[in-house]
Formats: sequence, C-alpha cells, structure tokens
Amino acid sequence: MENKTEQIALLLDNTKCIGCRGCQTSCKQWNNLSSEKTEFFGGAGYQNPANLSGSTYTLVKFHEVVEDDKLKDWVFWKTQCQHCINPACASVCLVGAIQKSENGPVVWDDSKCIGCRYCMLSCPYNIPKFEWDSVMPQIRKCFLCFDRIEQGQIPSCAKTCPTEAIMYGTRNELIEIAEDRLSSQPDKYYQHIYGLNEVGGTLILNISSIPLEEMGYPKNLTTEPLASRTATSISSISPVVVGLGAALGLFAIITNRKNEIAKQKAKEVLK
Amino acid sequence: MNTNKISKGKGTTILYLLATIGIVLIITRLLNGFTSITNLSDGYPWGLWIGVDIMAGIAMTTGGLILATLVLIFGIKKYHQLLQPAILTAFLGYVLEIIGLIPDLGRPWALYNALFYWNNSSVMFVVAWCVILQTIVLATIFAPVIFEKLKLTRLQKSYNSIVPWVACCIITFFVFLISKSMIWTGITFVLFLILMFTFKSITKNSALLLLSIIGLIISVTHQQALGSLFLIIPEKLSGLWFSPMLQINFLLSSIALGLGMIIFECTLSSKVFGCGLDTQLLKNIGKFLLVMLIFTVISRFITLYFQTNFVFDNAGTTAQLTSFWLEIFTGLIIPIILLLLPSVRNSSTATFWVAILVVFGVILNRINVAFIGINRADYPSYYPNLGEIFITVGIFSIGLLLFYNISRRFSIFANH
Repeated sequence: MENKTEQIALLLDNTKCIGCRGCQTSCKQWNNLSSEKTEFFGGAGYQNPANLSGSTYTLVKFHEVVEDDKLKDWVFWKTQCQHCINPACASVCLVGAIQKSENGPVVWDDSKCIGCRYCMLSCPYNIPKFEWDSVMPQIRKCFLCFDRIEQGQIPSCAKTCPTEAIMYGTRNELIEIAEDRLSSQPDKYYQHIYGLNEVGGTLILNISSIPLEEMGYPKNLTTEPLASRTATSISSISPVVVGLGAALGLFAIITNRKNEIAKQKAKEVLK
Repeated sequence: MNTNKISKGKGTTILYLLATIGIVLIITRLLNGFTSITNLSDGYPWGLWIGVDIMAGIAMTTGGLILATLVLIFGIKKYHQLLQPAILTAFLGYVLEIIGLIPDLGRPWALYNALFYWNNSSVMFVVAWCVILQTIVLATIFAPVIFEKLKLTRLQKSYNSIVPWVACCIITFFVFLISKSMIWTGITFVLFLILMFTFKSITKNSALLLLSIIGLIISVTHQQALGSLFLIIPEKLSGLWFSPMLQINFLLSSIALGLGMIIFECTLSSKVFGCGLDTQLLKNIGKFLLVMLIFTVISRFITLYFQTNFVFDNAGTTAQLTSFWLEIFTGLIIPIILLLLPSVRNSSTATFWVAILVVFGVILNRINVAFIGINRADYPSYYPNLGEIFITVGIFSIGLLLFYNISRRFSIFANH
C-alpha cells in the first residue's frame, strides 16, 4: 500500500476498442499458450472462446446494447486479471504460491501450488483458471507480462493495441488520464472508473460507455480489501485457544478434586 | 446367529469391492486429470469431494472429542465404554480426509509445501494445520489401546512422561503458526505447562487429559475454520447459507453431527459385534442431540434473518430453495420434533433413525455450501458425476473397513 505511487497499471478504455482481438493473440503468442477448440454458444456475447481459461489469459468480450428491441450500440471489452492492490487470491493461498509483486502485478509460483483451488473460489472477478485436463495441473491467469516489465518492456497486449484502448503506465498517471477523459467527454463515458476503489482498488482501470456491470462484471463490490473478511476469524483463534484451554483445564481440576473427595468419603464410610 | 454371520461376510465383500473401485478411480483421476472423471469446472472449482469427504467427513469426527471431553475432562465415567470407538472414528475421519485430498488436490505430491510455506492470512492454512496436528493428537490418544494389546510395556511406561510435553509443544506451535505473535505463543506455552504440572500432581491420566483438551480446542478451531473458508465470498454463496457468522453454524452443526454419529455407530456396532447396547447412555446422547439441534436451528434462522430478511424468493434458485428446505426439514425440524417426543427418545431404534436424519441433514448442508449454494450464472451448474460419487463412496468404504478390522483386532467394543 505504501508504495502505491510506483504501482504500474493498465487503463482499458472500451470506447476506443475496435474489437480486433490483437491483444488476445499477442498474449497467446508471448506466453506460448495453446489454441482452444471453440464452439458456437447461445447467450450474451458472441466472442470465442466463451470464457477465460488455463490457456486464455485475456479475452475480448462482445456485448450488444439493446434499447426498445433495437441494437443501439456494440461494445467490446477486454477481460483479464484485474490485479488487485490487496488481492484475495494471494491472501487465501495457504502456501503463498500467488504473490503480490512489489511494483504491482499479482504473480504465481508453480513450484509451491498444491492445487486446492481456493484462489479460484475467492476471486471476486473469477479470474484464476485451472488446467483441468492436465496430469500436473496449474493455476493460470494474466500476470501483467511481469517478465517483459522486468526487461523494461511493456505488457504484450498494450504493445499490440492499435487504438490506445490499452494504455500502460503508473497507476497515478493513468488515473489522471482517465479522469481527464471522463470530464472532457461526459456524454461519451459512463462516469465511473471501475477499479479505482473496487475491492480496495485494482491496477487495471476501466472506463467505458456503459457500466461494466452490464457486461457481467460483479455488481456492488465493496471498497474494502476482501482479505479483511476472514481476518477477524483468524485473529480470534489464539484467544479462543487460550480461553478454552484455561476453562477446560480448570473444569478438569475441579472435577478431579470432587472425585477425590467423593472417594475419601466413601472410604471413611467403609471404615 | 448364522444368518448374521453370512450377511456380515457379504457386507465386507461389498465394502472391499467399493473400496477397490474407489482406489482404481483415484488412480484414473491422477493419471488422466480432472475432466476424465469429474464435472468440476472453472465456474465450480469445488464440488462433491470438498462438501462430503472434506467438510462433512471432518464434522463427523467431533463425536470422539465430545466423548473425550465428557469422560476425561468432566469425569463422567459411565460414557467410558463409548469412548474408544468414537476416538477411533475421529482418527479414521482424519486419515480419510488425507486420503480424500489425494484425488481432490490438483497437485497432491506438492502437499509437503504446506509444511514449509506459511501464509497465516489464509483460512486454508489454518485448516491444513488443524488436519496435520489433529491427526497426530488423535493417534496419540488412541495409541495406549494398541500398546496394551501388543504388550508394548516400555512404550506404555514412557507414554505418561513424554506425551504431555509433546502435547504442550503441539498446541504452542499451533498458536505460533496462526498468530505469528510471540506474546500469544508465550501465553499458550505457559498456560499449558501450568496445566501439565497440575494434572501430573493430581491424576495418573495426565497425558490423556491434556491431549483431550488440546484435541477439543483444535477440533473447535477446525470446524470454525471450515466455515470461515466461505466468509470471503458473500457475492457467490447464496444468502440461504452465507452469513458473516457462517463459522458458528458450522461449529454447532458439527457437534450435532458428532452426536448423531455416536448414536449411529453404537447402535450399528452393537449389532455387528454383538456387544450389549447401553440404552440409557444413548438416551442421554439423544437429549444432548436435541439441545444441539435447537441451538443450530436458532443460529441458522438468526443469520438467515439478517442475510435475506426472510425474502426467500430472491435468495436462491429453485434448486437451491429445494435443497435448503430439504436440509432444514430432514436435518433439523423433523429430528427436533421427533426427539421432543418421549416415545422416540425412549426407543433406541427410533433414536437411531433420527440420528440418520441428522447425519443426512449435515452432509447436505456441507454439499449446499460447497456447490449447490454457489451462484455462477456464466457457467453450467455443477452436479457430481459417477466418477466423483464412486471415489467418495470408495473412501468411506475404506474407512468402514479400517474401523471394522481395527476394532476387531483390538477388541475395542469389549465392556470395561
């Protein structure tokens, strides 16, 4: 939290997205991810594949804005790990295989993971995916091209994007750009930066023409980091151990004393 | 008598068959990945195995610790004859959980990492260490039975001098792992040292007494932690089950399940092993069960009130509501009504059937929390497939076989 200023981030501006899916392809290329067998499906969105998976870290989703039974707009959306500033996945990983790196990206360590999949359950955006087909399965998700950033490069999706719908920079400067765009073109944008405060803030900042919630993003997210929800339960364990230990110990001593007295009385009676 | 023996033979044959099928399927799962025999998906990462093998299985172990508390801590000696089978069940429950983890974890061979990497902000970390330490504690509580039967006199003699120290170290280490605070660690160590020396001066049973206190504490922590796993997902878990106090519901219902299991197990084993059934004791356990069920139902409805304000229509899908009411009626309301009737409480057969209802209800509760209550509109809903079901059945068969053979070998149903 204290080095928030140095956090790197992405600004996703969906009003600039043309739906070319270059980011999706460059992500697969850079990370050497296999292609997926896709199938046509009904329901919201026409994108393929339908969802992120162990071999798709980012996916452009398609969304029709329909008003009065007429197609009003056609919105594209880049889905990926939001890189929370206080990630739930990292807080719930018992071996710390998922870690928040110093300058921001939430990265994983294959050698530690035991495959319990608690990170998948805990993520508010349902991002971590599992290699269900594999004999040695791993948790997979976007790690903001941490390897490229270490080499002084920018994430492959941001590098590829032809329209600046994906912008790379420090979180603070991107927040300024986003606020600028919202205020200078109030008609074009829905007035909210998704990711600024959601679950304590994320590195991925989204601005758009319609609310992200309409695209299936979680509604009414808290602004508190999710890890705080289990903190009380964990910190109460030590007092419970000591309290129960003292109470039960005392009971045992009293019971024992009573039994002793009863025995002695019985002996006296026998005498 | 003869027919009884034949059916016994048949019963174990079926159990061996089911256990073999389970083991073969576990190997299939390890060699072919999850998709080959499970319906688990990115939308439903947790399924039947977490619900039944892990959460319900562990809830069944509370019976042993309840009896250890009654007999050893509160000194109610008459329950002593039920103690050993219940401790054995609890120990096997933990062994089965560890077996159950093998197919469920994606990378079970990496499980040893849990010993070396400590992320104490994770509830799963608490759960993992409860499993590890409680398995050791229960094995140590049961060990004297084995020493006695195998006439290991030397071990028997050193038991009382070594075990209390081990017990103190276990609980201190547990608090150290979870709090990472030297103050709490110090307080725990001093407290249990005081208890150890006091017990040593007043009773011959000091080791068992200390162990059962520590076992009970870890058990309470474990049940609570299993519920706390879900505190982080109010957005996904239906309001029918989610509550900020979910861990309390887990704890209360696990005690009810433990009592139900004592009744179930004692009635069944009295038939299988032909030892006398102390109906008066089971009647008392039935009364405890009634009290715990009432506590559970009150706690469930209080949390439900704050979560949904009783507007059930918005609280879940049809499947969720059906499963919810099935759980509430068969697991809580019907057993409470039945146990309120003196005629049911006085009949050991009727109490036995009530216990089965309670066991069913709590297992269904854990299933509901693990996957039926999880809302993921963007994925097809999960239901366990045959492979998953037969692995679960296989694991429980292994448990029953271990219980049957160990209790025969060490004749733990002999009257004391």
